[in-house]
Amino acid sequence: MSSLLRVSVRSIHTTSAVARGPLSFDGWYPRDHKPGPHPENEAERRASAIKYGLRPEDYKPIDKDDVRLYAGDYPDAGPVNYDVRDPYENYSDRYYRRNWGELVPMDLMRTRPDRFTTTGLDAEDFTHVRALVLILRVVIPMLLVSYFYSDPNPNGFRWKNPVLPKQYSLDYYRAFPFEDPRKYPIVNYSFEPLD
Amino acid sequence: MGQKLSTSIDDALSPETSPRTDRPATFDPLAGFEHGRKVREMKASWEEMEQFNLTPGQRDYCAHLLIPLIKCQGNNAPFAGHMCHEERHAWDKCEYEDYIGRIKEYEREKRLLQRKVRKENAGLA
Repeated sequence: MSSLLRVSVRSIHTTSAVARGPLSFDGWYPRDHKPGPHPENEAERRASAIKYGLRPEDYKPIDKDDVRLYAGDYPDAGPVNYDVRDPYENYSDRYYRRNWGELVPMDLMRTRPDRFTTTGLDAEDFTHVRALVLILRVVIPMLLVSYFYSDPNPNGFRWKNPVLPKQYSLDYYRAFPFEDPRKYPIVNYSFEPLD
Repeated sequence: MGQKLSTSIDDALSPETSPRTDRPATFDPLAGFEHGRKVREMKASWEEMEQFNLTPGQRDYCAHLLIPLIKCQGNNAPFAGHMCHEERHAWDKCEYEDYIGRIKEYEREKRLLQRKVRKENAGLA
């Protein structure tokens, strides 16, 4: 062979043997936040309350016979849900009317605000004006983009780079489609001086 | 993105001094160059380009570097991506400098247009 194959040296290495890495990784692991067994005594209740970020006096585990919600020591969130929370409060999670660190109810995803209501008052949230605004805030940018995109004025706004067209030695455009481009040579100059 | 935006906006707001980017320069190419300008020479021949079936867009002033790259790719297929680094770099560098030349042409055109507008305004005033 006239030229040696250039195989990279790095393809053979013993990194997996010599570079072991740390034995444990600092982090936030879901296994530490999963529900444990149903609390029997006061100490377990306190520990569970602290795990879920509740006060021990507020902690109420879900009844063992509740087939729908029971999950070990996961607490019962109570009757307060999206519909009865303050609508004007500045929530960190506005979609569920929940703040960061609050207990997530066991059936939050099943009784989401957009699929479930306990008061029936969310029907008043729909007004025709709001529906129209939702549509227009998509359609109006579309129309603006189309208007600017289809402007025939050659000196109008164009999205362009500060470059002139590419230079070729022959005029291929003029010769298209059937003539020989060699009939139309072009002289182009570079920016180097003649010296 | 900022350069493209500022170019587009500046050219839209001052159409008398904005070069047309869809056509070549309008001023004499040798105007203002006291030491002259070198002519760009085409280093790849027509027959070579025909032999390698280059598209019209590839038949620019860097075709003499594209042809060795195509040969190298043909020899080392399917590992050409790992073997043809020098030829690829040479062609890319040539294309890059060609693009810089296009930017310089645009800038020259713009300054000549600004000079023309200045002279017209001075002539009127």
